[in-house]
Amino acid sequence: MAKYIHMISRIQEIIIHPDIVESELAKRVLSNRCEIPFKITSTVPETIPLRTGKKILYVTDMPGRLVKPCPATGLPYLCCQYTVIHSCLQCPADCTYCVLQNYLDMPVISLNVRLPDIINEINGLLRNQPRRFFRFGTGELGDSLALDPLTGLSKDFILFFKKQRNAIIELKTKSVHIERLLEIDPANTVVSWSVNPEPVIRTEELHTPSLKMRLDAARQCQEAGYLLGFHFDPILHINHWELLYREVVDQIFSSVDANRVAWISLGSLRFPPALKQVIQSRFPGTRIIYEEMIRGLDGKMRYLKPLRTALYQHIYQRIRSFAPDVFIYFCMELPQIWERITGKHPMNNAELDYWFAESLWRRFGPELNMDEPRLPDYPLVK
Amino acid sequence: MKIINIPLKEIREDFSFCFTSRKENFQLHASVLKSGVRTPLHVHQLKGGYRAISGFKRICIAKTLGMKTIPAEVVDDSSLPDIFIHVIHEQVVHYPLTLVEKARAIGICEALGMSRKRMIKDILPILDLPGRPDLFQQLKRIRNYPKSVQQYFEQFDISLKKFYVFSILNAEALELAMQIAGRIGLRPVELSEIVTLITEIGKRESLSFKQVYNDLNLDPVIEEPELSRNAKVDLLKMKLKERRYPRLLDWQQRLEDMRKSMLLPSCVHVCWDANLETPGVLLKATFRSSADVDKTAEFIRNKKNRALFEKMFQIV
Repeated sequence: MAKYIHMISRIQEIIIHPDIVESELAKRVLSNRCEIPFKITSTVPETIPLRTGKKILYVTDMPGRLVKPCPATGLPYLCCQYTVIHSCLQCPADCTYCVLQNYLDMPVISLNVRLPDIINEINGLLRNQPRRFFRFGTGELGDSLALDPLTGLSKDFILFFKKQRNAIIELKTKSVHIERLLEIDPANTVVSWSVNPEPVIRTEELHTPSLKMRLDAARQCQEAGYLLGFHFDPILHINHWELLYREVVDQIFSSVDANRVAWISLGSLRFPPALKQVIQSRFPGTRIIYEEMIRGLDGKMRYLKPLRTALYQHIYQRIRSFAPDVFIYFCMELPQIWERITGKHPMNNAELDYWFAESLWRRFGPELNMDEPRLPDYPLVK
Repeated sequence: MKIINIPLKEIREDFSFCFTSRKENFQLHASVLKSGVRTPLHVHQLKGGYRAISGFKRICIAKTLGMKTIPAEVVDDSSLPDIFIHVIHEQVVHYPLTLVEKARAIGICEALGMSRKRMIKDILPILDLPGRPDLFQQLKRIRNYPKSVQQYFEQFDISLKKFYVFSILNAEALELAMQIAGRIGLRPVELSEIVTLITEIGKRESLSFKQVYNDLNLDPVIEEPELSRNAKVDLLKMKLKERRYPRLLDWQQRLEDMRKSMLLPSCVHVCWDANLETPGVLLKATFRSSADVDKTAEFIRNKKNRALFEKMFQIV
């Protein structure tokens, strides 16, 4: 396991597009690269296997908008109106269930050097809706910290969000690359880890640090003043799942202070049907796709509703026993499931967005320099 | 390069460049009979003879008609890959190639030493194949399949997308799948569903394809003389689904039992989403008289029914 402590060690080659060699981020990557070989070329291998591509970091300038609403999923499932920063696409880890295997065209990890444009786009959003409290994240299409030793992007984002009144950044990761984070006096930043039982990490989350390492990193971040988040996503229906997920909850709360946990998400395994073939061919040994699943109302494959309910109920109650006040939400779930487990449900995605803000304001308002949120300031994002 | 008439007997019976499966071509036969071979073939000179690169059907027809010579263009070693690309192009213009034919064409390109890069650039677009990393491995697998499997693929024109289900089977499983298909006369969509179910049960329970097949005792279903073909297919699928989706079927059965306990009036129908995903149950009432309205109201007010609905809501 020791070799997986540092996800960055998976990178074996850096390709820099000739047009952006002089950009600040490209220079930073080159100066941080240590022994990793690099070349400057516009030719990027496009037909290599993903397994190989995940070892190549391609530094480039991607066209188009870089800050977008989370693609979410179709009704009636509820989503949280997260805003995604497209700073880096793909990830050096190789999780069997990862939707990016099928979602992204390029097999290599693409790092976008247009940081000033990202900042401009975020500023534009914040100016347009000054009373809405935004949650931004870089961990949707990649891992927020896996490449941080090379890119140092965490510092840029933390320093930017520190100055904002109506926004927070979530750095979502499976890695333990928190070195730079510990050098900064944090504000308006949630560092979050996706968690799973150790047997799942070993068999399904290849090349990632163990749960213990992740929780050690979380504890260090908390001690440094960061708010934390945890994502039970995907929750897998495996043998002894009750015991295994209970242990994960117990480990979390024996490692960190529940009062400094901003939010915890629960989401069971779900994937577009086309991903199944990709998983079958890339990971013939995995069994996760052979559980009983149905095609959900949004077209994605999911566990049966009674099974999902049982999974959530068990984990939710255990979390609540340690953290009565922490904000727990379900990712892409039915209002009915919210209702059954928590006794209430948001009316729509906008209200869920508001619930986040309300919880943050109630628990961390002064620290986050927040104004009291009002539901009308949270419109539905299309 | 010039076109010469070469004696047919000097063309070796070497079909290593032949990738098409179609043997009969009556139009071509009639045309050769009437006007002779008008389009020269491509041949490659060997020691003491020639090897055909294209025109295999023309050669066969010419031989059948007792012709002594045939017009041909002799190409040299260095231009073989270019000529072969041309041959593929010509073939595609005449009719779309099957997946097996495409696999053979790629095999010949590989034998000619053509680079992957060149194939991706020059051949795959002609063959309408995606340049994804595992393609060449999949095509190799198709080329190595037994003739019976290739024939099934060609008979039903299995596409690369449909081929996927079969690509994850090992030789034993594939042979068994073909046996099932042959014994019942399964179409690819049916075979694909059955193969998927058997494979997924096996994966989940750590059993081989054959073990699942034997464990479920599927042979008697296939052999049952009293059952029609369609009934056999339905029964096979049902047995497999019972094993593949035990919880779903169990929950559906429980709902069904509850519905039966409700003693529904004939004007009321209770149903639910088969996947159990859409929340709630659907109550359909057809009123033909005010008596129907009363019966429905009574049905809804009935405490026993309300209790059963409560139980149903736990599942749906």
